[in-house]
Amino acid sequence: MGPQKHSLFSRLLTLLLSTVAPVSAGAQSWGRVVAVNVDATGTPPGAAAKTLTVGGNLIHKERIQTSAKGSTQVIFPDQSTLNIGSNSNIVIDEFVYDPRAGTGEMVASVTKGILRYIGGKISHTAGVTINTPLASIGIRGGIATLMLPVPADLAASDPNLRQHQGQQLVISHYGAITVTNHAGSTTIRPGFAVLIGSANLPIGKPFRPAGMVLQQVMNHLTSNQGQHGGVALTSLPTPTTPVPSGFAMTHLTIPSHPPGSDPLGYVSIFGSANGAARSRSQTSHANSTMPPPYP
Amino acid sequence: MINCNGVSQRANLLRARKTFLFVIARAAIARAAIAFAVIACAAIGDGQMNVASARPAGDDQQRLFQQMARQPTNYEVTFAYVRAATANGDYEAAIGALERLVFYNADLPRVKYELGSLYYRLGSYDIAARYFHEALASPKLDAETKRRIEAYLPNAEKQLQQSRLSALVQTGVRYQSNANFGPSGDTVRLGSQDLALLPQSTHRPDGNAYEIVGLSHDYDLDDQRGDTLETRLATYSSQQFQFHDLDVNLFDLSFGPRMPIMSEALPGATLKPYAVGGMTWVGGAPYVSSEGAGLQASLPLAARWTVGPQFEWRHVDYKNSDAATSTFGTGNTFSGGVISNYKVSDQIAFESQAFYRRGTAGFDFQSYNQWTGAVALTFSVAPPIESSPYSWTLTPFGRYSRTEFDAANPYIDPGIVHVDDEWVGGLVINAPLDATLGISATVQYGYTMSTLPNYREKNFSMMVGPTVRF
Repeated sequence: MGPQKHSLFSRLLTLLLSTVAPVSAGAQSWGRVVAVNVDATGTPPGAAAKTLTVGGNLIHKERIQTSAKGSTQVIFPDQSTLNIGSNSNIVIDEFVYDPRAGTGEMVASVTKGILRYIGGKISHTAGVTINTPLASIGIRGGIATLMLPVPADLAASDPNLRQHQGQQLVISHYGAITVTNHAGSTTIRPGFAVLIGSANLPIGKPFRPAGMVLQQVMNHLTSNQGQHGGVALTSLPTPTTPVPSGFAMTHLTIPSHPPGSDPLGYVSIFGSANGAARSRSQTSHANSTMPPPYP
Repeated sequence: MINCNGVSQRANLLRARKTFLFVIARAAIARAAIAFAVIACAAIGDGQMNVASARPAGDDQQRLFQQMARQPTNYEVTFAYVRAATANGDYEAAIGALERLVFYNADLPRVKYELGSLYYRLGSYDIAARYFHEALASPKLDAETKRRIEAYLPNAEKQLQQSRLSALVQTGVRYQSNANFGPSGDTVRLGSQDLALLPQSTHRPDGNAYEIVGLSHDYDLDDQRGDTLETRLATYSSQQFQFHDLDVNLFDLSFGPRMPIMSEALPGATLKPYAVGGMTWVGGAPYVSSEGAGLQASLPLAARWTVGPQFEWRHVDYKNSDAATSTFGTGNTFSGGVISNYKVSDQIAFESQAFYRRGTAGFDFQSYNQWTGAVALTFSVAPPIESSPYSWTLTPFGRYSRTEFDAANPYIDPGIVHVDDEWVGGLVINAPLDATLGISATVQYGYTMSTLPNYREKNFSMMVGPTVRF
């Protein structure tokens, strides 16, 4: 089979795969672009690069690349989400999801860039793996941000990142995030981050990233000034667009629970006090009776 | 003889009354359960769960996801999906959808507030705080959302500190219809005889001023397991208006490390061994002290359901108690049980406790087996002041406890073993006024049935007072 025939076959296969009904009853292996800022391209295996557009599908092993101003968001049938920032290069190596069983497999490779993975059904069951040249990141039930390499401006914003420009940064936001390379493995808890300098060097000690780091990471993972995720201005929500009716404003509760802040605990404090007073009082009643009636 | 017949008739009357009251109590509980269910359904219907639809909520989320995948820019569908996912406790799915809206327009302060709230609920307080700050920075933020963010942001930022101190302080006044715990029949049995109490010892009402302090301190060891050192302190103090000999002061202090366990199989599960001790004074004199150790677990079995099995041993030392007639004596208690918290919806939480306790003392008549069950249903309701970001809570609760002593007390009645059945029901209302100040009010009714007249009693109480929480 010559290169031209191979290319034609690949394109036909690509076309066939990309037109498969996205929500089929069986195993599902698609990804859908739901927001995109130029330039962001997708390159299916054996095919030429195409500009990503909102509503377009990604197929198995398609390479996603973004420019210095590009970014995109992709959703998957297990209801997981991948936010991809600027200067990124990522391939979804494996994505299979069985909606009936609620399980599947997801493996991605990142050679550079920044992304945030927000877990879905697969990460809550089997776990998701993201491979980079320096490490493998296992995500179980969670949300994680990965940045490779750490840019100079970010490295300057946190004492923990200084002198580590160019290394890989992994931040755990939720769930169990495990980073593994040739030198070892570290599970990082939510709110912490690690730096990886090399595939063969020990993974850095986990640290709490500064607020400024998180702010810059968030800026990298969304639209820049004047960008609108590939959506026409007329169909955009504005700051004054009311939320749809029926969507009540969220009430939050205080996460700390000192004794007495839960109803049964509160009532039990009075119960303990009453128990002591009752016991003391009932004992004293024995000495506070009238003489028995004369027989 | 006449006396014996009198006692027998009286015992029959008491048995009949006990049966009658038991039936009444059962009927009242059944009515309360129906009322709870009706209120719960109403609240759920008013909340974010779709009870009108026969479809499970998960199906709704899946259907909306498919619709959203076809129309990712549809604002209405996206919010409907966020609503369904949030109602299912699938906060990650809701986060992904809302972060897409921020892709479309980075200046959506209300959406950023909701994103901050979702990360907050996941315990990802650093990102929650970032989103709250971003929303606050928007000049287009509306006043109500701003008030909410200003209320919640300090809580999120506090959770990022390594050393965290929280407190609940309440002072108030309490009324009790039977403040001296006098028996309902105004008689006590001694030496197998029912003796009338002196008038000053019969059941009488009184009020008191009280102060409660609950303190919690968490020190995060900053290791990657998430170990924390927890200290908990509860204190109570009351000053009776009349019965000063029943003034109570008590404290209970525990300390121990909380360690995550089974993080792969059961994320969020923790285990806490702890040391515990306490002291109680009644009428200004030491009454009882205790020290011991315990082990408690917290197991999030589902997104909305956490179960906490626990075991505790205490050595209990009663001071200056009259051993012959006192109910409890110096010895040990072994308690085992389980606490369960189920979040029915964002507005309704169900809490239950079931415990068994074995108390051993020097005398068999002071050793006992005790079974306790308690339930509470908390409804969060919008405050009457529309602009307030703090929900009010109404919590009806009930508790049943049965205590069976090992042997009859020969000084009271050698032929009758002391067995108590205690029922308590009530309502707690919490009305926060701002981030720290609030008002709490409680009404409760307690009723104790006993095999001995000494311990049969009923008591209605009300307490109300301002609370400070930080």
